[in-house]
Amino acid sequence: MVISVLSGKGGTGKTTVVAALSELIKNVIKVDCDVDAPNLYLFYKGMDVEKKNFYGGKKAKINKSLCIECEIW
Amino acid sequence: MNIAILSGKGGTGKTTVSTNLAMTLGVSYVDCDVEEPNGFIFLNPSIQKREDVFVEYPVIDQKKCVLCGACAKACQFNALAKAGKEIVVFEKLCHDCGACRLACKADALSYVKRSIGKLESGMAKEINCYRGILNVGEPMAVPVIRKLLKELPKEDHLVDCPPGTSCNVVTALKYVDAAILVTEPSEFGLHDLKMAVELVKLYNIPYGIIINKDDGQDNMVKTFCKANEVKLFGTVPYSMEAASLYSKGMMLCENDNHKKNFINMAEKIKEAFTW
Amino acid sequence: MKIAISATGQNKESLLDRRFGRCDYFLIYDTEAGEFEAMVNNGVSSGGGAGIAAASQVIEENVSVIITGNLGPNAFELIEKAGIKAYSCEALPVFRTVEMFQKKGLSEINAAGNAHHGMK
Repeated sequence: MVISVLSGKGGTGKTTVVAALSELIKNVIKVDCDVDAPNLYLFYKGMDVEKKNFYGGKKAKINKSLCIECEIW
Repeated sequence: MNIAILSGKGGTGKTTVSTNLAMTLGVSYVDCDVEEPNGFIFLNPSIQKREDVFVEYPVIDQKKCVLCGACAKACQFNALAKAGKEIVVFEKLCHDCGACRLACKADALSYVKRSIGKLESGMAKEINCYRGILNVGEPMAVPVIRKLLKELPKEDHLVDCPPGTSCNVVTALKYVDAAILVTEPSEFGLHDLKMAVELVKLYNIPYGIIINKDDGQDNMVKTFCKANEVKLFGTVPYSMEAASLYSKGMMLCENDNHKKNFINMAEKIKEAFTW
Repeated sequence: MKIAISATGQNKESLLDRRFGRCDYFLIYDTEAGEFEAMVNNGVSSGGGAGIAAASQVIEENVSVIITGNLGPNAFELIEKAGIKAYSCEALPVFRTVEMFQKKGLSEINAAGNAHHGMK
């Protein structure tokens, strides 16, 4: 069972509610999807077990010797 | 002069501060939190202009298409894919870059517009008000933010930014000269404030801080400001009265208990940004 | 014929990955040659439309069958248009999923699951 907590408006208390509810349920995985500004971990004195880079796209590189600066964009 | 109001954390009071400062300073207010624009609830402008924001997406002429798949290979956003006997277009993924048409050798691609949101402008209490509204369910806010900010007239603006520190905020920052970071004196507030500070520093934008919901004590945000020599323009008190006014959609700066505070902050801001 | 299986690793003992769009690898099994070939999933490095990138890659391999957990709506549309059949399986070792398919022990995926939803 996956339950999402969302609100539309910022600062209404999503993280607070998630932390509180998750403490009352056995065998639960807490997931912080606010990747812009994740706050859930601040409630816990934990330690990182695993860190992985997320690759989400390519960065353009211009070959100056070929570029004719047409600025077509 | 465009001044951004941002925070990192949601709900710290960007809209409260920006609407009240805009009125106090007598400058235009721009709401570019296009996913959830709230500023007009307080300012309540009469809308004088309304226009759609369009993006384009490709349409394939199946008679001309030779199914080479070059368009799909060129697309960096997975908006086109070859499957069976057709090229499938995924409109909502299209970033309107035009690469597919450049790649097509069969002249089978043309573009069609679709609306993803609206821009609105009007007047309230003697200041100009502008905002962008993204349609619910649309994945990309940037085209709306960009059009909103690009088409502003030459005047001073307070730009009420979206929460967070990613794409939407970065786009807004491209159009501003200075920034006011609004925070609250809590661990979450400070944590996200630091991210916002990193962001404005990355883009060399002069900035200062306003602490909303302030407890009047020497709190962790004030300590941070002192330790890092960050300008503190002022605070808005954590009070039942302020919360009550806000919850009724009323302007703090029109209330005798808060007017002077906003005037003082406005003075400090004008001085800091040599405006 | 060729069968594509979404996988967590590069060899046939690796477990099936229930996600399609963002699985780490695809293992392609050639029934005639009786061999597995591994490839990195292009969908993994996509900002968006991972299911589309993954489906496109699999379509280009000329597979007839896909074995995975679920398919999101974008991937499902492409797979259907390409005439590929998809089957759902638990996270078993890849070679076992092929055996189960050949014994007709897997149910066909007839509709898209939720978007971004390789897990149930």
